[in-house]
Amino acid sequence: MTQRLIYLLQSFALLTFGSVFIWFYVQDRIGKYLTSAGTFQIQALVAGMVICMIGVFLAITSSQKASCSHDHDHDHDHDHDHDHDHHTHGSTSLGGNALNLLIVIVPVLYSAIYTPDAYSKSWVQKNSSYWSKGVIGKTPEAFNLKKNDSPSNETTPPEGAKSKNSDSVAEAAGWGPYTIEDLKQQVDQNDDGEFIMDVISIFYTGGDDEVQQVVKGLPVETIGQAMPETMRNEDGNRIRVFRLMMNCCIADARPVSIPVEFTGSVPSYKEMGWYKISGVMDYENWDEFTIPVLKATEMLPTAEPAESAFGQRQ
Amino acid sequence: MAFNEPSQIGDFLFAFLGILFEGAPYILLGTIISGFIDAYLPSNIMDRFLPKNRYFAIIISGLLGAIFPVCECAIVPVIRRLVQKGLPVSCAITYMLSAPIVNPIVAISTYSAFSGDDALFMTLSRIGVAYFVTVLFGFVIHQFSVRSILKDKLLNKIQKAPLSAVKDSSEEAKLTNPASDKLLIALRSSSRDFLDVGMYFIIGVMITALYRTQIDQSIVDGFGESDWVGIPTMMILSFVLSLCSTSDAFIASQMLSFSSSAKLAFLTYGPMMDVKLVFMYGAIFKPKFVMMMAISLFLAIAIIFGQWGNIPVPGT
Repeated sequence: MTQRLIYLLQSFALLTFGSVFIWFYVQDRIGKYLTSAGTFQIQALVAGMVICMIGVFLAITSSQKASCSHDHDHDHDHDHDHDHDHHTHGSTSLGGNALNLLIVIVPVLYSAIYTPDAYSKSWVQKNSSYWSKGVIGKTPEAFNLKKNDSPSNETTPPEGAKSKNSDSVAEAAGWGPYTIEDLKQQVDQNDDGEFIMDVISIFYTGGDDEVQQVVKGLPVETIGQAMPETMRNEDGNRIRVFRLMMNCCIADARPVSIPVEFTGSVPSYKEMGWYKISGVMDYENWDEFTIPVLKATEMLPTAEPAESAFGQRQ
Repeated sequence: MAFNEPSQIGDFLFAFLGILFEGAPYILLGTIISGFIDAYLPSNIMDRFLPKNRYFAIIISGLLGAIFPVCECAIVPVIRRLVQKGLPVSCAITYMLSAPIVNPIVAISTYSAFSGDDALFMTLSRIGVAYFVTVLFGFVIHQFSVRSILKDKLLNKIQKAPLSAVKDSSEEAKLTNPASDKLLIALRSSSRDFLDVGMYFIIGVMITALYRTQIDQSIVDGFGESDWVGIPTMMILSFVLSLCSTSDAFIASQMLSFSSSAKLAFLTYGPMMDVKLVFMYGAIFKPKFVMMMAISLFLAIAIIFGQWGNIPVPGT
């Protein structure tokens, strides 16, 4: 009886655990936690389904005894007045199992119910040490404006063509000079002719002189979360917009940001709010770094995109 | 008590779920493998396949990850089951420590992360040193009594193994239990392992999420000026961050204030020993042994990469 109860408890724990994975996937919330790059999101769904299936199997077979061919120790340190099928290699005590299951289930359920699905303002501020430098990846080949479905989507130059001393990765790779036509092929434009670039792509343009020459002065539209600008903002006409970039999961995410400058005063905005910003691209030298600056012409509140955090640019 | 507006507690919950969603599928994979090993693999079969010479067996065990690539989360339940099935502890630990690094997936991700920045050197250094250190550690472990390494519960099961082994080898051909029983055994073992190891995993994830959300990550940047400080700092960071070995290279490659040696130490130590692994190892090993393993691996890797800066990098 005790053993059957343990199986049923384990079954309940597995079903609860697996359901959380499926629930987040079905609700389209998994994208806030796992990058869409690779198979992380689908792995979570499959794992949830498999865990639930095992849970159901365990419940259905809870009263079934299994025979096996190998020996079992019978030196349990408790009375033997219960039936079991000799396949309880782990703890067979009900209390031990219950404690184990509580440690597994309670944090997962609590987090699933109360998670805000986003980081707080203080986390963003605490993790924005790179704002001053403007550069996270020093290698210019990290720059990637290209559309995912572009046939020429090769962001990594051929091996052997790279040279640390080259002025441009494209030059080193023998790609030829980067032109506005390349940009048009790689980046969509809206009805007003503005290039639709995400904050991280804009940010990475600061790593390549050749790309900057093409992008500088172009009209651009971007979406990001707004925060106050705390550096080089003597006139008080700048804010920061950022997007999160993650490698695998949201726990390794970092905010990547660019300054946005307005001609007059900064319009009223909500910190951490989502905005669609149109403007013209410019660049400034901050110490040894080149910082992209978006000279804004319009800033409108917008809905949070489905993919609020981007995967690592590779 | 809903956190409609993100707060510090909300940050913790957010990061906790992120790591959980990322890591749990691998734990599940490992526990399913371990369940099927339990049901289908005869005892001591691993020992039969490995070379009789234990040192040679350890050398081979360090390379098993190239054939059976398993990440650090999945390997713990697998190892626990393999040890129960008679895999020598020294070989098991060598495989456990090396497989998360000495495998093709990690080689590709490391090469990709450092693309254009001595990628081949970084990849080979990471894999080479990890292999060397784990095999060396396996040799040392071989001198230890199993009693001083394994938890008593696991040890009791192994001590029964010789009887099982005899029975398995002599009666293997005439097993009477039907396939459905084997499947039942496998899935029951899997679920029990998942909940057992999952408990340690969740405790580790909570601590990691706490660190990642409540501590200012930028404070470590100041420690990158010299290898004397940078290498231990990066190793401690890898311990606390508990990153997956398939993706940690992308994070290490962006830590610009640290040297290549420090990054390699980060990439080598983290997959062998981190916060969540300490708790998961607790399901197999005695606490003293886990502590000894953490310290000795730390020292070995720190010393090796402390000298790494003196090695000329090809092509630079």
